[in-house]
Amino acid sequence: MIAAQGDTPGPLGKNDYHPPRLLNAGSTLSRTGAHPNPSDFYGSAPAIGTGVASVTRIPVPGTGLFLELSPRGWVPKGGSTSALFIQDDVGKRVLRLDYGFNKNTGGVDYHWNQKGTFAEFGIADHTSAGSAGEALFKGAKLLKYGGRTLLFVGIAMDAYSIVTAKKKLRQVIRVAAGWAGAEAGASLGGEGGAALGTFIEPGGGTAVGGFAGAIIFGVGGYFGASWAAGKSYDWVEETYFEPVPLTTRP
Amino acid sequence: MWQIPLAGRRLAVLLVGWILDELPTDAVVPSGVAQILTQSLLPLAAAAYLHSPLTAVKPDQWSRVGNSWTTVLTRPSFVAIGEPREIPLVSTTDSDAARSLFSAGEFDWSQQKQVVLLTDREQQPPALTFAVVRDCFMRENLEQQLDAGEPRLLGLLYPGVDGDFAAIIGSDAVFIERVVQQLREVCDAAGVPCAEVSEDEFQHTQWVAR
Repeated sequence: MIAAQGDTPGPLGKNDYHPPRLLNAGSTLSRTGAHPNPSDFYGSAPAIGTGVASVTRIPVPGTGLFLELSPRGWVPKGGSTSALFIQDDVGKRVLRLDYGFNKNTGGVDYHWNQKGTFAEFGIADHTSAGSAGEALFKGAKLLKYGGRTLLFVGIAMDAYSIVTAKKKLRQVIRVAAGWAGAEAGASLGGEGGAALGTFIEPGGGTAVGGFAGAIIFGVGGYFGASWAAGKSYDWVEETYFEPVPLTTRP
Repeated sequence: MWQIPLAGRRLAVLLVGWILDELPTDAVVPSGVAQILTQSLLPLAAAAYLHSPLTAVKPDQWSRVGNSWTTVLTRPSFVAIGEPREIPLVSTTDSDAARSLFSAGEFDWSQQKQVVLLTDREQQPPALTFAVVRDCFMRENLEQQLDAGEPRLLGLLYPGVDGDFAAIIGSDAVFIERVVQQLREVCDAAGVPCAEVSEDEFQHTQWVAR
């Protein structure tokens, strides 16, 4: 089949046709949509999915609380000594994983501090978090700062993919859909993961499940939404309307 | 370790801790401790602290509410990332009313999101500005604020680590001495043992008497 390769249709306007690079003499042209689009680049999905997961407020079902890596509200210079927060809108009710002096043990350790969340998680204030808490604390710190770094890396990769795309509008739509998908996926996946994690171990499990779900579904959300947007664009672009000859009414 | 603003050469710090029979489930300052602290400080100074929510207050104007004064200080036009547009503030000379500083809504004492500015009792309400309260909350320029600030600050009260301790920073040692004296008297009146110890002893104190 020989497809129309002229200036229209398509969003690129006139002179948008570039012959395939490896077009040999005598070969048959095929529709561009039949091949993978060279601008279908998904390399930024892991970076953006993880980055978005690190800044998303993940709802913890049935509690009115959110899983986050930063405290709510105004905090003094130097920030908080806690790495993980399960808190309400203003941080009045909070369960947080902290590193510092623990009045309960008389030493510096990893411990939970809480106010108004005991009914949900069964963790009292100043409860030692042990080695699992230490791992969780360090993982949360890594996700907080690593996630933000990945977010910037992802933004740069997406910006580059748009600049170098042959069909820029298509790539813009794919990227925008990918970000929206990552945000939605991180929130929904995080919520599901938090629910599952809370069922297994309230508190620590909530955090692990929430962030694991947010990352997995954030990456998947970006990939899926971006892929769907690209396919939709191609479908619209390749839909032709042939003029029907005018006839007289019978 | 105590997560309090370090004293400069010209500032004096008093760290206050309290031994409990057992720790409460929630992070709160026990009501008895809150009462002793406010009864010790309020005879010496008025207390201005962050509190939300506040209702029926006009921006940058003090309103009288019972035994206290309330206002909302608004930020100057410059943009500062991570800082609020408004600071809701309560000022009082009433020790009972001042206990609300330990349960001040989003300005959670246990998360060290609170600061208490100790001002002259005779100058109520205090002429505090957004910049002064902001600096004190952020633990910046404390010497300047305590030394030459207008209105003059007699001292500052901060939550220590996890809100389990209280730090009182004075513009001079005389003010801290007066606080210590007042603490002793209030504790004696309440039948609560009170001891003044070195920082080393303080560090090795068992805070939960099981």
